[in-house]
Amino acid sequence: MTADRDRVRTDRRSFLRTSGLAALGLAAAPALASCSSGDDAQLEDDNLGFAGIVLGYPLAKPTVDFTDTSGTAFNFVNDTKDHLSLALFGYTSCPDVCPVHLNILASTLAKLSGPVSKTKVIFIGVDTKRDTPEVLRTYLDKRDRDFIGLTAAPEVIDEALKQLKLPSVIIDPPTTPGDDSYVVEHPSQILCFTPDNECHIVYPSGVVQQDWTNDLPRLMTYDWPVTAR
Amino acid sequence: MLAISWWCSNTGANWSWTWRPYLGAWVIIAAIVFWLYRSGAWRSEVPIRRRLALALGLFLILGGTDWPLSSLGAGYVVSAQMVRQVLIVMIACPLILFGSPESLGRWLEATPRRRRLVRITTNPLIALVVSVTLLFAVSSPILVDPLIKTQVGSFAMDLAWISAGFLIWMPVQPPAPMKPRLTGPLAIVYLIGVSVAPLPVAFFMTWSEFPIYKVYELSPRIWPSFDAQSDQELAAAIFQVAGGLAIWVQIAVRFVRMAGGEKGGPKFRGTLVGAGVSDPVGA
Repeated sequence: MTADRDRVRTDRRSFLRTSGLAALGLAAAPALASCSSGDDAQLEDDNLGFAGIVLGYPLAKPTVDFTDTSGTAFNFVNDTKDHLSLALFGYTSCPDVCPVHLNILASTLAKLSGPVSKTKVIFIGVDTKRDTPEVLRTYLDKRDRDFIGLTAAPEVIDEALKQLKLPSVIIDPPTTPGDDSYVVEHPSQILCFTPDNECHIVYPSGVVQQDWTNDLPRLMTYDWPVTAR
Repeated sequence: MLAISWWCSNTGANWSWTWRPYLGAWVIIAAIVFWLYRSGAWRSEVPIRRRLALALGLFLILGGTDWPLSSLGAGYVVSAQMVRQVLIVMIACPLILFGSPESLGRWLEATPRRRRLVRITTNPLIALVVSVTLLFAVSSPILVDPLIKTQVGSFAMDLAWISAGFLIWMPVQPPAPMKPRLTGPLAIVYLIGVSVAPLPVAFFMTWSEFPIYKVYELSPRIWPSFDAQSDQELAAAIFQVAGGLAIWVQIAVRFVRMAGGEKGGPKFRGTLVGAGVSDPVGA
């Protein structure tokens, strides 16, 4: 039983790693293809001093409609316009990556002041069966009452993931019928949408408070090079 | 099925209250107990307090290296790691030295080479510098973050604690029948030095703006409201208060004994009355 659970966990980690790398690979492909360009070569060479991974080309915001935890429609493009926004897909029963990401972001934002402390943290619940708006709200309130919780129908979430070049969510069937402790496989990186309304950089798990404290103020004002999408 | 590992380490898995013994801790303690038993550590002629001290010291070492404390410390909360350090270095090691069999003390003094080694390791300055350096090293994020992720690394850290613990206490509490290198006021001054020397570690943990150990910051939280920063501050408090208390109790005991021993003779201010006097006050 424990061995099975460990295997599932290992499989899930491997999935998260693979899916994350696959997505990043997709995003970085054009940059790799056009490495003769000076700017692109610079993007490839390093992550410009950020703790995250700079993408080869920016990603646009998903054009789908979510619902927030108060039941109000949330248009990702309009409701995050010109704001520094950090979006992550996850589920409230997640044992490791999601709570660690959220705890670190909550602690970081509590230490920052000024406009950067108003960075929007958006948690998109992918486990639509268990993560009702109320469950999401309670979960996020334990970290930070300003965190935004979003939900949508599974196909809408999948469409958003597709637009962001991320793999779809996979819900592992419960090991015993009726068991509600199933595992959800989901992309684990944090997508950073800068005030220019594009995602230039993603943060994998392993980024700590000090990294965020260094990066967030820079991300507020960073002048990203114009690259072809 | 019961999952058994050789030694505790940071696995990144979610915390579980399911018992998970660490084989290495049990095997090593069992071997030491067997050897001590053969050496006569628990024979009836050994004073009961020494036998109890030895048993308690070994029990604390096992408690510090086995589930749940070691799992918590290695993988989830740095405050548990500090509890382990205080238990092993400040409490278990002196208890074991106090209760160790005389055959060990005689063995250590049997040959010139061993006597030389003992002379070096019980030199207060060497003991203090080496043990504090060891404790600093195994508290440094540069070493803790990579070491704690493997069973071998975690074992090395625990071994460093145990070595530092024995080194710290050898100058004032060597195994009988060896005589302590430091006694009286010198032992007290040495112990005050021991209580002060590791404070920079606690200082960094208390005043650092961020969690200093990535491994704990990125571990799944056991209690969501108990974040990595609070955990680190609690760890520093445990290190200073509990660790300091363990040393200051020793200092106080030694001081009281020293004060009592120096006076000598009867400790009453009045005149002792001989037996058989019917009216001692002359009423």
